[in-house]
Amino acid sequence: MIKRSTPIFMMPIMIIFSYFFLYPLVVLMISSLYDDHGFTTKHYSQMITNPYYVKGLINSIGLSVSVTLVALVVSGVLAFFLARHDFPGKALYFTLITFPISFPGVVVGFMIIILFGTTGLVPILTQKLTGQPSMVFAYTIFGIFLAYLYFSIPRTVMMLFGAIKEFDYTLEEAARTLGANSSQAVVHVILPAVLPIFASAGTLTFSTAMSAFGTAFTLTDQFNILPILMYNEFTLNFNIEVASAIAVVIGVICVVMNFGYQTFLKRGSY
Amino acid sequence: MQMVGKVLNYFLVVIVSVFLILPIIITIFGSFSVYWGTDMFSSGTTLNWYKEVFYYYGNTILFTLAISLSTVVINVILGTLTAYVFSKSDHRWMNLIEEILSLPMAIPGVAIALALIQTHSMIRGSGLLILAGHVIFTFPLLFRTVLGTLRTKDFKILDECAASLGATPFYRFFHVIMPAVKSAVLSGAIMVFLLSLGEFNITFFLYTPFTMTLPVGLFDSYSTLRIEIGSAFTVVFLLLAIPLMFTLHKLNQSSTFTRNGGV
Amino acid sequence: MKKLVGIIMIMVLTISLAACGSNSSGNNPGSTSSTASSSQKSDSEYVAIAYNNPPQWANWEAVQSAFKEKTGIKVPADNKNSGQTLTALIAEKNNPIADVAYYGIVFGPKAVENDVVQPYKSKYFDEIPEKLKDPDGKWMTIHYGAIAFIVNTQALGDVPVPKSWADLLRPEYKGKVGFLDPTSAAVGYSVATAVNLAMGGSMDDWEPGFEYLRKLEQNQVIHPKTTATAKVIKGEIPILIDADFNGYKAKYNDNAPVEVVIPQEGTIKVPYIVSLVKNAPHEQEGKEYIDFILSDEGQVLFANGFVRPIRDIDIPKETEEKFLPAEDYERAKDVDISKMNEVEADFINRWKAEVISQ
Repeated sequence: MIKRSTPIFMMPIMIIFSYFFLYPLVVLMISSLYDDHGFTTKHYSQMITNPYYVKGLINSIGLSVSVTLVALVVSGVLAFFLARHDFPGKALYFTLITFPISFPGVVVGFMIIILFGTTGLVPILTQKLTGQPSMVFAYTIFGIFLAYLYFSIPRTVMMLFGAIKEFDYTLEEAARTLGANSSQAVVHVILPAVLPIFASAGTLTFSTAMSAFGTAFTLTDQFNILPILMYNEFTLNFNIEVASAIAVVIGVICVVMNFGYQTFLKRGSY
Repeated sequence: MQMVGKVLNYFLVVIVSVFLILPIIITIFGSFSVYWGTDMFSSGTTLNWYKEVFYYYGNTILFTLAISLSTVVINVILGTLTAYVFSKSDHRWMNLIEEILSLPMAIPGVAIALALIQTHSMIRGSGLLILAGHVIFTFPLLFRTVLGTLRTKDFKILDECAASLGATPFYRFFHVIMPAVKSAVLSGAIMVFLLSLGEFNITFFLYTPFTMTLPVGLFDSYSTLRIEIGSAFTVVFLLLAIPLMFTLHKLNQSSTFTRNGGV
Repeated sequence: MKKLVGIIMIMVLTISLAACGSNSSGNNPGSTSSTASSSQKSDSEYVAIAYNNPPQWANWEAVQSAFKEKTGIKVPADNKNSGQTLTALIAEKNNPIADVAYYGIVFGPKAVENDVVQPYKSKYFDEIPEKLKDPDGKWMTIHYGAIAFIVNTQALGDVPVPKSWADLLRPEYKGKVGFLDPTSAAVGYSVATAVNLAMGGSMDDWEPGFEYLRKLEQNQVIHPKTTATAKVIKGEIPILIDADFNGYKAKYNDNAPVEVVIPQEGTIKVPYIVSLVKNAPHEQEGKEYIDFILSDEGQVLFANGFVRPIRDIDIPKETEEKFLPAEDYERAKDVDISKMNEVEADFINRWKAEVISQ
C-alpha cells in the first residue's frame, strides 16, 4: 500500500528525471530517425550493411566482451587473494588499485603510453636487455585492450571483493570436512554462490567498456569503436542524426545486457 | 600441482598490481622533471609545472569542485528520499520505475550528452547542463546503495516501530531513517563525488571555455601543452581522489550494512 | 576516521586556495581559439568568446593578453580543433555561444554552407589576398604556416634527420613517423594534400599521393586523433608531420630538442582563418577582436608565435632568424581552397578504403 506521503517524496526526482533524462532520450531517439529529407531508418540499417559501421560494432562488442572476461578472471583471483590474506598496508594497497575508477579515460590512455609507448618503460627495458626496443603496444589493438583492462580491473576488483569478503566460509569448511580438497571446494561450493556477483560486475564492466570514449580517443589507432564513430559523425561530418543513431545502438546493447542477465539469473536462481 | 597453482596465483597478483600502480608512480616522478623525454631527470627537476597547472587551470579546478560538491548534495537529498519511498513499497510498477531510475548507469555517457545537447542547449553556457548531466549520471549509484541498505530487515523494523509509536512519515525520515543510513549515504556520497570528479565522456560534449572541468583540463594539458604539465595536473587529481577513496574503504570495512562492496 | 576526514578537508581547501591564488594574478588561460562563453560577463570585464584559441598554438595566449591590455575585453582560451569548432557552431546555431571562430581555411566554405557565420569586413580586409578570403567577408585568412616535419632529434638518437618525403619511407624510420588522422583532424588532410602535390599529383589526380601514403603506411605510421605536439616534445612520436609553427614553438619556447624540416620535394601552405559568428552574443567585442588580430600589433604577435602574418608588416629581425631560410619556404605552394574542399569527401573514402588496412 503506497502511503499518502509518498507521492510528495517522489515528485522531485520524477520531475528532474523526466525533464533531464527521459525527455532528452526520447528526442535523441526521434532525431536518429530523421535526416534532411524526413523520416528514415537508414541510419540504423547502415549499422548492419555498411562495412565501416559493422566493423565498429564488432570491434566494440568484441573488445568489451574480451576485456570483461579477462577482467573478471584476473579480479576474481585478486579478490580471493585479498580476502584470504592480510598484510601491512593492505588498505593503502587496495586504495591504489581501486581508485583508478575515477580516472578520466585520457589519463588511462597516458598510463598505457607511459608503460608501452615509444618512449615507454617496457620498450626502454627491452632495449637495455636486448638492444632493440620492442613491445611498443600503446598504439596497437593490444594497447587499447590493455588500457580498457586498466580501467576495468579496479571496478571489478572492488565489486567482487565486497561480495567475496562477506562470503560465508562455513560452507567451504563444511565441504572440506566432507572430503573436498581446496580446488574442489572453490569450484563446487564458492563459485556457484558468487556467480551472481560475477555476472552483475560483468555487465557493469561491459557497459562501461562499450561506452568508453576518452581512452580510445587518446590512443591512436585505426581500430574504430562505436563511441569514436559517433564522435566522428558528430564532429567531422556534423551529422547529429547519424551520431544519435549510433548512441542509441550503444545504449540498447548496454541496456539489453543489463536486463538480460537479471532475467537469466532469476531463472537459475538458488 | 598445488604449488604451481599457488605460484601462478602470486605471480598474477604481482603483475596486475605492478601494471596498475607503476604508471601512477612514474607520473608522479615525471611531474617534477624539467624535460621528460627518453629519460626523466637529466635536465633537472622543477616545481614549475605545478605553477603552470594552477595558472592555466585554477578556475577549472574550482569549477569542478563546485560541480562535484553540488552533485553530491543534490543526489544525497534526492537519492535518500527516493530510496526511502522505494524501501516501503513492493509493487510491480514500482519495480519498473526502479529499473528506469537505474537506467543512467547503463546508458553510455556520450548518448546522455548528445541527448542533452539537443534539448537543453540554452543552459549550456552557465554550466548548469554539466551539473544536470552529472546528477543524472550518478543518481542511480547513491539511490541503489541507500536502497540496498534500507531493504535489510533491521530498518523496516525500526521504521515500523517508530510509526507504531505515532511518528509522522516526515519525522520518521529525518529523525529515524537518515541517522541510521548515515554510513551508506556517506559511502555513496564519496563514490558520487569521485565519479563526478573524473567524469569525462559526458562533460566533453557539454563544456564551454568558461565551464571546463578537471578531466577536460587534463585532456587539454596532455594534448595541447606537454606531458610534464599533464602529469602535474594528474598528481593534483590524485591528491583529491586517493584520500577520498581511502576513506571510502575504511567506511566500508567498518559498516555491517554494505552490499556489493558499497557500489 | 575523523583525522582522515580532517586531512582531506585541509587538502581540498589548500588546493582550492592555490587555485584561487594563482587566479588573481594573471588569469588568462591561453587558448588561442576563441572560446565561446555565451553570456558570462565577470564584473566589469567584457568578454568575447573565440572557439579554437589554445594558448600554445600560434601564440594566441600573447594575442589574448595584449588584446585585454588594450581594450579590457577578455578572451578565454579554448582548445577545440577546427572540426570541433565548426560542429559546435552548427550545434549551437539557435543559441550561439561563440563570437569568433578560428579554424583551418578548408572550413571556411563549410561554415558558409551551414550558415553559421556572418560577414564582417574590418578595415584591413582589403589587404588580404583574394583567394584567401570570402568575398562577402564571412571568413578571412589571418596567418599561415606550412606543412613540415617536426623532428625530435633526441628521440631519433643516431638516426639522421629526414630531409625529404622519400626519406620517410626508409626502414630506419619505421614506427617513428606520425601525422593526424585525416578523418578526425583537418591538418591530416593537409598533410596528404601536401605529399600528393610534392609527388607530382594534383587536386584532380590523387594517385601519386595515395601510392606514397600506402607505402608510408607499411612503415607503421601513428595517427593521433587530436593534437599531438605534446607527444613529439616527449619523443613519443619522433617525427610528426604537422604545421611548422608547432615545431618552432616546441624548439624555442619549450626548449625541446626539435628541428623543423621542409621536405625537399615540396609542401603546401596552411592558411588559418577567422569568422564572425552569426548572431554572436557579444558581436561588438567579437568585431574588435578580429580588428586586433589583423592589426599591426596582432600580426607581429603571430610572427613571434612563428606563424606567418597575412599582411605585409615588418617582422623583428630576431624573429625572422628563427624561421627556416626563405628558400626553404619557396617549396611551400598555395592550394586552391575550393577545390580542396570539393574533393575532400572522395579523399576520405579513398583513405579509408586504400590506406588503412582493416
